[in-house]
Amino acid sequence: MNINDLRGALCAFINDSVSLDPGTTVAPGTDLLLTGLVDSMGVVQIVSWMESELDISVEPNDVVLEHFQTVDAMADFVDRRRASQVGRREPVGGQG
Amino acid sequence: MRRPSVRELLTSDVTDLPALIERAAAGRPSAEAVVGSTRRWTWAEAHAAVVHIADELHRIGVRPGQHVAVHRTKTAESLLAVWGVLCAGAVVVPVDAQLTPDITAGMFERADVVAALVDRRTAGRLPAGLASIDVSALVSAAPAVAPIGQRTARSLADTAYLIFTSGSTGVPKAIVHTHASALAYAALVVDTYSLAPTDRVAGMSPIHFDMSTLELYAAPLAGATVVVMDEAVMKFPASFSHRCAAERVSVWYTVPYFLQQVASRGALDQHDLSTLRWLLYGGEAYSPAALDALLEQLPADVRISNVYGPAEVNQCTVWNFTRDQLDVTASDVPLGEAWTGARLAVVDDNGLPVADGEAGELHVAATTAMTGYWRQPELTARTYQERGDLGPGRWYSTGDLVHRGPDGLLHYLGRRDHQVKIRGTRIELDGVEAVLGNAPHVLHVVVGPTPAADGLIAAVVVADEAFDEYEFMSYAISRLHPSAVPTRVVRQSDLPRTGSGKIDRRRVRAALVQEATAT
Repeated sequence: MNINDLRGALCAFINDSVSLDPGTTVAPGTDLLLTGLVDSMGVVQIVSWMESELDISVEPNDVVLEHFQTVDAMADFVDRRRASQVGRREPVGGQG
Repeated sequence: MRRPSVRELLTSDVTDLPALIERAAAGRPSAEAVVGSTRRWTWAEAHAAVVHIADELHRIGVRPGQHVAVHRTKTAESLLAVWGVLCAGAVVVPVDAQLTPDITAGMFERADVVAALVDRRTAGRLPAGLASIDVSALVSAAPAVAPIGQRTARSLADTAYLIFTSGSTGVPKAIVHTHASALAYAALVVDTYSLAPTDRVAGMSPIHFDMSTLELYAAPLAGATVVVMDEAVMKFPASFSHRCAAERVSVWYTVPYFLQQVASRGALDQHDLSTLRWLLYGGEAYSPAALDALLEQLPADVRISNVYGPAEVNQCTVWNFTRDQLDVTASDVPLGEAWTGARLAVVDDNGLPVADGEAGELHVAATTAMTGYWRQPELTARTYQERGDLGPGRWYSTGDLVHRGPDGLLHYLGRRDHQVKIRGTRIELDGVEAVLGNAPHVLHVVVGPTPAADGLIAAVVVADEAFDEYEFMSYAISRLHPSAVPTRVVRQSDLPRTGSGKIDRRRVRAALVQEATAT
């Protein structure tokens, strides 16, 4: 999933399953925290979704305001996290 | 050093709440007062900002004694806003910024609100015609030092703030507190928890929660710094831990619901919390085992307090301990003893004091108590009355069942009525059912808490097959407090009845818990 698909998937998940306000459509730049669209239980839902659907591990110290303020911020975080996890696995797989 | 008495703490120059800010600004002008996420204020600067807000309120026509809402997502400026309203001689009415405009419009109207202090988002959610001020914009333009001028002092008996409770029912009631009750509470807190100018108190409570009175009034009385945790930070336990470490926070006061998140997801092992000296929690029960799971990650010498008291009386018991005094095998943490400001009585269904050790409803007479419910004289008369047989003064009947244990301490047993706490918010189940019973295509609704008390489950008997769960949830979201919106809907063909033919709500609720546990 490239980062654009990732943004789309995150928006869809939040709109369908997390948002506390069905009347607002979440876009990649929407501030989710000041607007009350996502509460602390919503954050937990998003983290579980990332771990199960995107197959990344999210440590408690990753679950911070800066990574979850918007869908854009979440996608950037997931992207960096995937890159670092791939980076860790590569030496095992070998470079040829 | 000898600790000052409550009387000494409230010297003759403090006769209303704004005097707390003035005294701190005069005594320790360059000490840190409020730490926000993007800005810091000394007491001199905080005082200047507060006066600036008060002047602006007067400029738009607010007069002393009138009611002004503080209606914004919590940031450091929310504290300045509350103090600004008080400095203007007006009455503070905090209104939750996360409620829908439909609900808040009713609250503004019922509480006679004439103006609102808002942020950019809530400014667009006010009823037409209500005057408003964007606090952040105003505060950023405030001078560094307050101009010299006279303010209209309030007297101790004047109303200081209204606080709404049970916002779940659609008809929330507002509790009226005076400068006297708030100052008495502040002084007792400073005395009980030895709050000092060196303390850095985490400002963790939304200002529409009565727990915010500690950061709003006790901290300025002590001259302590408030490190404000923005509403957004409180959704991220690891962000909270980080800020506590970076700002060398020494006091926490919050609900167990949040502390459980800090214990499991706060990344406490990666943050230095050695400055934390006192952990106060309240609002709901905290199981000893769950509490211990948090304490094992905190400095060993942290003092812990189980704080109990309905918003009607602020606080009424005190129970302080350290981790080595906590019995993790016990079923509860004691409520403890009456604190200095309160007298307690445990009475039976006939209103007579129970024998020692027997269960009964807790009644409280307190210097920190409300004057009554705003414009609800019947409710006030029913729940808050003279009881010469129990002792002098008015006694508030809490609805909480307690008993005195073999340890000589009070223990909480449960509620008399159908009230539950969901994520720290008081929810009256009957009120929620009354609202949801009017949803389209619904015949009957019974709601009950999930086993973990982190949400409500609704059992619904539909009136016809046009019932749609999405429509039902939209109806709930637009009318109920977020904590009262059911997290699950279970359709039923019918509900069990009592002998007299009424729906047996107790049985339905028990079945809902089983259903939730089974799946």
